[in-house]
This record gives sequence, structure tokens and C-alpha cells, in this order.
Amino acid sequence: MRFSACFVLLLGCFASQLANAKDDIVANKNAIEAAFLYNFALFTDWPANIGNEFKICVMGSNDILTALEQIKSKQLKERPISLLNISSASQANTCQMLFIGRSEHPYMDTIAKQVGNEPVLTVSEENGYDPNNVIISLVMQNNRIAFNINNSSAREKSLVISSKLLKLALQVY
Amino acid sequence: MIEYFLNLAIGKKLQAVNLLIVGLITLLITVNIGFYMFGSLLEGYEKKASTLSRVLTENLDSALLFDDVKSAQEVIDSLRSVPDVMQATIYNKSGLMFASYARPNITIDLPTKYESSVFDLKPRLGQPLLGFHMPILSATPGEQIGTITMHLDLSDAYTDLYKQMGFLLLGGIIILIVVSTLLTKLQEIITQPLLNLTEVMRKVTNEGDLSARAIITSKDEIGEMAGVFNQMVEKLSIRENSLQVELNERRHIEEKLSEIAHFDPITNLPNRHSFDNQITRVLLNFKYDQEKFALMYIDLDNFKYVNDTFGHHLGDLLLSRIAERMRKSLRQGDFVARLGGDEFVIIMSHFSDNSQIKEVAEKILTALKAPFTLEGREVFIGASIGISICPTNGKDSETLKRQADSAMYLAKNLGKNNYQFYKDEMSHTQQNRINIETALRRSLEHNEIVVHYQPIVELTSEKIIGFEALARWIREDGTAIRPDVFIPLAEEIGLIVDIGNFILNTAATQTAEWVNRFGLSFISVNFSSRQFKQNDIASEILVALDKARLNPENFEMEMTESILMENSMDSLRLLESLIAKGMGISIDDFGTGYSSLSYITSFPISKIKIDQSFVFKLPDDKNALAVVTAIIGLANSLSLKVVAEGIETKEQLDCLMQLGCKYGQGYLFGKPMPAIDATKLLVSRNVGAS
Repeated sequence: MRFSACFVLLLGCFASQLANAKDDIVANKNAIEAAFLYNFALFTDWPANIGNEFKICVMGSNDILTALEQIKSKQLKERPISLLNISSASQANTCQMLFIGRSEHPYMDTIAKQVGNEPVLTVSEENGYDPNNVIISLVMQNNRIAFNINNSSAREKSLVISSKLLKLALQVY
Repeated sequence: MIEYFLNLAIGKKLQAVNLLIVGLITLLITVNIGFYMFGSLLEGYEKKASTLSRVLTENLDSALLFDDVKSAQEVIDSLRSVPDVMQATIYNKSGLMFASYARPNITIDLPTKYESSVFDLKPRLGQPLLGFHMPILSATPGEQIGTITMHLDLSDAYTDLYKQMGFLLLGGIIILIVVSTLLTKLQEIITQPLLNLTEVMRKVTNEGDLSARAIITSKDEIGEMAGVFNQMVEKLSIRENSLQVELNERRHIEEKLSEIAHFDPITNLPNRHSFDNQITRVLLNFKYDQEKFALMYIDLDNFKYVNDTFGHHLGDLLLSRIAERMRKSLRQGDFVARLGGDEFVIIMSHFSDNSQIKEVAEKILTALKAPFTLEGREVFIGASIGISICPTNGKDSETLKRQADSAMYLAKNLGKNNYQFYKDEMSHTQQNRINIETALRRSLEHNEIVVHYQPIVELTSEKIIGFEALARWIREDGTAIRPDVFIPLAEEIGLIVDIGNFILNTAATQTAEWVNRFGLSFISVNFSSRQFKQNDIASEILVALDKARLNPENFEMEMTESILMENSMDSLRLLESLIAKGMGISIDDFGTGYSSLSYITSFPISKIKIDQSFVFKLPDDKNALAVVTAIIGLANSLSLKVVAEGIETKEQLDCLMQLGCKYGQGYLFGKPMPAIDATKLLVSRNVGAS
């Protein structure tokens, strides 16, 4: 564990230095996904009534939480970032973003129901397939992390995803 | 080059200077505009690069953020539609090359790691590329996520620039041509007056046309110059005119001088100079054609008398009349000239024998013998003619002249009014005269002139009351020259003045002694006409008397009637102070001349002397007796003393005493004698008697 933490720390350092690096994807996967989360937020517009903090909520992935610490000092939408580790999607109502770890994927439909039409950008961890009921799903392609976007779902939740982001997506529904 | 410029006409110079200035300005403007255009072109290109980069960046940030090279590549590949872009390269946040675009067929060596210097190509003229780089920022404020770089191809810009510069230059050239044409016209306005002025100056200088004037068309410097030039020409013209006038006058004078040089102004006959030329000509004729000729010297008799008596005016008039008559007496082709004074000369050619010469000579004598009427007076004149013939007498001018002169003197001596041909024996006579003249000139300094004294006595007592001083010339060899020979000669050559002064001084000194010793009453000294013409005759007498300490009462001036007649009363009045002091005036040879009562009464005469020609005929000649009686009676009635001259016999003396004459002189009482003899006579006669 100690070793692992130390590894992660090492990885975090690495990731912060090479946020966009295309090499050594496996080692940096969490860091890259954390950076992706941040970047997604940059290209997405939320309805006006965001609270005082930009809340990024994480379900089922401590690694991501750790990786996100690296961007916590930044701001999004002119607000400080706060990270929330939640266990139930019902807690996700006030979150602007919800990262759904691989372990939670079987409960995806429930999570989707719980989030409902709240303006929460849901992002699923890469899992070798494209899960349903999520707005952005991370996928692995040619050893690079890519993503698909369910834009109609995003619109239902009053989220506007920038065309630039849409352009980068492998698939847009 | 500079010399070539200096030699250009002012107009061309102005044009050249103006063209140079306009050319420079045009060039400067063109270059300036060129630079400006280049600058704005570059700016445009920079703006273009900036705009392109900004547009691209909009689409690149996401690609960079998500590390999507393919997407980035797609974005910058869109630059294909922009031909100016040579290349565009995106570097990521770490400065590594992310995506790159290059125009087909172009390879640009770019660093894989970002270096700003490669893209900092400063926009300079001639540089074909414009470098550009710009950071790519993320939506998060202040975060640079990459750099976009670009190289723009400027060759089109340069083509455009050169094209526009070409147009500008073309425009400049057109401006130059227009300005040049305008300047040529303008310069003509400036230089035309100058050219006109130059033309006028040339006219004045080359053609000497001083009437030319420059037309003043303006009031500028050229106009002023033209004005000054006109003034100058005006002055020149005036000067030229006055020079012309002076030249004409001079020419006139020269003509006059030439006339005077060759013609005698009084008679209008050729003068001595012409005569010399003429004789040279006839001698040449003789030399080449054996043409003989005669030289005829004519000397007027009695002319001097007329001249002295009636004045020069009448004398000149007479000369011109004489010349007229002479001319009429000559044949066609004879030459007559006036040599001066009363001498004339004739050159006769074309004669067969002497009779033709004689004919002419006689004709002249006859013509001159007839009386001349001059201003109401009748004047008689005669002539003596001497003739020499070439080649009979001589073959050169000097010989012929001398011979004619000698023959003329002979004619004069032979009683005047005749002509003589030269004969060889005449040369002796002539030489004699020349010798005498030379000797006479030296006589005074050689002490050859002496004073002789002839006693004047009281007839009743035969006591000597005075002497007449007479000049005698006794030459060194002892021969005495008669006074009637040397006195006229001395008068002729002007020596009479010196001789007269000598007599005056000597006689005065001698008389002073006699006055003191014997109580002599007076000395009588003769004065000639020539002496009288000296204005200072009175002062000379006064000086002589002072020097000799002789009282004017013991001095008597003896002169002929003609002297009184010839000289104006003014000149005689000079003597009045002496007369007032007691000096006597005695008239010599009375009865032979005018014997006019008027001058005797108008002038303070003290004594008259009866001419010896009357005395000589006494007592038998009734006419002489009557004249002498009348003279004595006249003298008595005017209270003048009378002296009879030339008493030689006792009968004459008795007759004169009977007629009432109180004084006399003559051989009977004593001949003219040296002072020493006169002193002796005074001792024997006066001392013994008293």
C-alpha cells in the first residue's frame, strides 16, 4: 500500500508534468483521465445556477480522486474546484460533474435515474466498452484515451457541449 | 562634368538644377512611398498571419488539450487554401512539435523543439519570408497550452510592391517630363530678355551700331541691366559723336595745314614747299626727257615801302593783286609760287628759245608797272627779275636757284624794273654780298663798327654847336664799307638794332665829355624805323643817357619823315617824357618825303634838316632855292631850328645865310671824323673862338 501510494504520487507528479503526453498511457491513465475531466469542463456550459464551488463528484474510483487532487488548485467556471467522493448517485444532484468508476458501471441505469435531468455531466471510466446512460464515456483506442459523447442526453440535462469537443469525440449520439 | 555645366547657357543651367531637384524630390517621394507601402504590406501580412493564427487557435486549443494530433493536423491543413502560408507549425505546451503544415513542394527545416528566434524574422526589404509566432491560450485564463508558428511567403507582396513602385517611378518620370517642359517655357521667359540683351550687345560690339538699344521688358535685375546697358551705350554714343566731331575738325585742320603747307594763304599761290617739289619734278623731266626749263626769280621793288607805309593789311592786299596779275601774264603750264616776303618764282617749261622767256618776263614787268588801286589809293610798284636756264646755266636746283637770285640782284642794281639772264660773272657779285653779310654779323664783336662825328655849326660864327653821330664800318683790313651799303643790309638782317644801340651809348658817353669840356650844345643820333618798332626805345635812350650822365637837353633824335609817318602817335608818345626833359627831335632829309604839315604840327619837333640834294644845287637852281626858301620860312613860322645839310662851298653857305638859315653841316665845316679828331677840332675852333 505504501508502495502503491508512493507509485501513485510518482504517477501524479509525472502526469502533472505531461498532462497531454501521448506516451506511457497505462502508467498515466488516471492522470490523463483527470486532465480529461478538467478539459471537458472547459468545453461544456452549465446552466447559470451553479453554486459557489465547481463540484466534481467521484463514484467508485479512489485513483481518480487522487489524480484530481492535481487540478484542485485550479478554477473552473471562475469557481474553486471541490472534490466529492460519493457513494450514492442521489448525492450527485448538486455536482456539476460525476465521474463513474469502472466498479459502478453495472449500476449505470440506476445512477442515471437518480441523477435524472439535473445538469450533471456524467463521465464513465474507460472500461473496454461504451456504457449506456452516460454523457461522455471514455474509451481506449490505439493505446490512446478517447471518448464518445451522448449529446442528446447532454441537451436533455441542459448542458451545452462545445462543438470543438464534439469534433474530437469518436462518436457523438 | 563641372566645366561642362559651367559652360551651359543660364537657361540650361536653371533647367538642369530644377530637373535635378525635381528628380531628387520625386525619387525621395517614390522611395518613401515604397518604404511606406512595404511597411503597410508587411503589416498586412503580419495581420494576416495573426488573424489566421487566431482563427486556427480557436480550433486548436481543444486538440492540444486533448492531445489530438490528427485533429490539429486537420485544422492547420486547412491552410492549403491560403497560398501565402509557406508553413505553419504547432508546438505543444512543452515546446515539442505537435502538428505541422507546409506548402506542397516546400521543405523548411524546422526545429522539433520550439525556438522563437526561427520565427522572429524581422520584416526587412528583400527578405522573402515573414516569420510569425503566437502563443495558444486555453480557456483557463493565462494558461498557455501551445504555440502556433507560421512563415508567410512575401514574394507576391514583393511583386506587388515592385509593380507599384514601377508605377510610382513612371509617374515620377511623367512629372519630370511635365515639369521639364514647363520649366523650359518658364526659363524662356527669364532667359529671352537675356538673349535679347546679348543680341543687342553683339550688335553694338560687332557692328559698332551705337543706335541699338535694349528693350526693357521687365523691372527685374535683367531689366535693370538692360537699363544700365542702354545708359552705357548712350554715353558711348555721345563720346563717339564727340570723337567724330573732333576727328572731322582735325581732318579739316589737317586739310588746312596741308593747304598752308603747300599754298601761300595771302596770294593762294603755291608756296616755297610746293616750289621745291615742282623743281624736283621738272629736274626729273629734264633727266629723262631732256625737257629744259627756266627759273625766274621775281623781287618786288618798293614793296617794303608800301608795306611799311600803309600797313600789312594793304601790303597783303597788294600781294594778292600782284599774284593775280602774274598768273594772267603766264602761259598755260607755267608754274608760279610765292617764296615769301616780296619774292616770287616762276618755272617755265616748253619753250624753244630765250625770246619766249623774255616775252613772259616783259609781260610780267608791264603788268606790275600799271598802278594798283588799293582801298582808294594808287600804289606803284616794280619788279626785278633774274632768270636761269636748265641745262644752259646749271643742272641742279641749288645752282639754278642761286643763279636766278644773282641775276635778280643784278637787275635790282641796274635800276629795277628789268630782267636779267644769268651770266657766269654774276656769281662773283652774289658771293660778295654773302661775304659782306657774314662779316657784318661779326662786325660789332670785332669792334669794326665805330662812331664818326660830323660837326654842326652856327653859320655866322662857324662855331661848332653839336655833332651828328654816324656809324662807320671799318673792317679789320682797314677798308671802310660805305654806310649806304651796310646800313640797308643791317636793316635787312635786323642787325641795325644792335648797331643803333652801340652808336647811342658810344655817342652819349663821348658827348657828355664834350659838354663838360667845351660846353657843346647837343649830339644828334640817327634812329632807324626798325629801332623805333621796339617799344622800349625811350627807356633805352634814358638808360644810355643815365649811364653817360648826359642831360636829355644835350641829346637829339634824328629820324626821317617816313618814321614819323609809319609809327603811330602812341609809339611816339613814349618819347614825350624825354622831350619834356628837353630832348630834341630832328627831321632828317626834310623836303624829300611827304613834308606834311600835319605831322610837323602835331608832334613836338624841334629841328628840321634840309636835304643835301637841295643844298647841293644852290645857289643857281631856282627850284632848289624856292624849296629851301619855303622850308626856312616854314621853320621860322613854326619856331623850328633849321640845319642845312651837305654844305660844301662858300657860295652855298652865303646863299643859305642870306636865306636866313642859321645852322649847317657839310664838308665845308668838317667831314664825319673819329672822336679824337672831333675833340681836336673843338679845341682849335670853339676854345680859340671863345
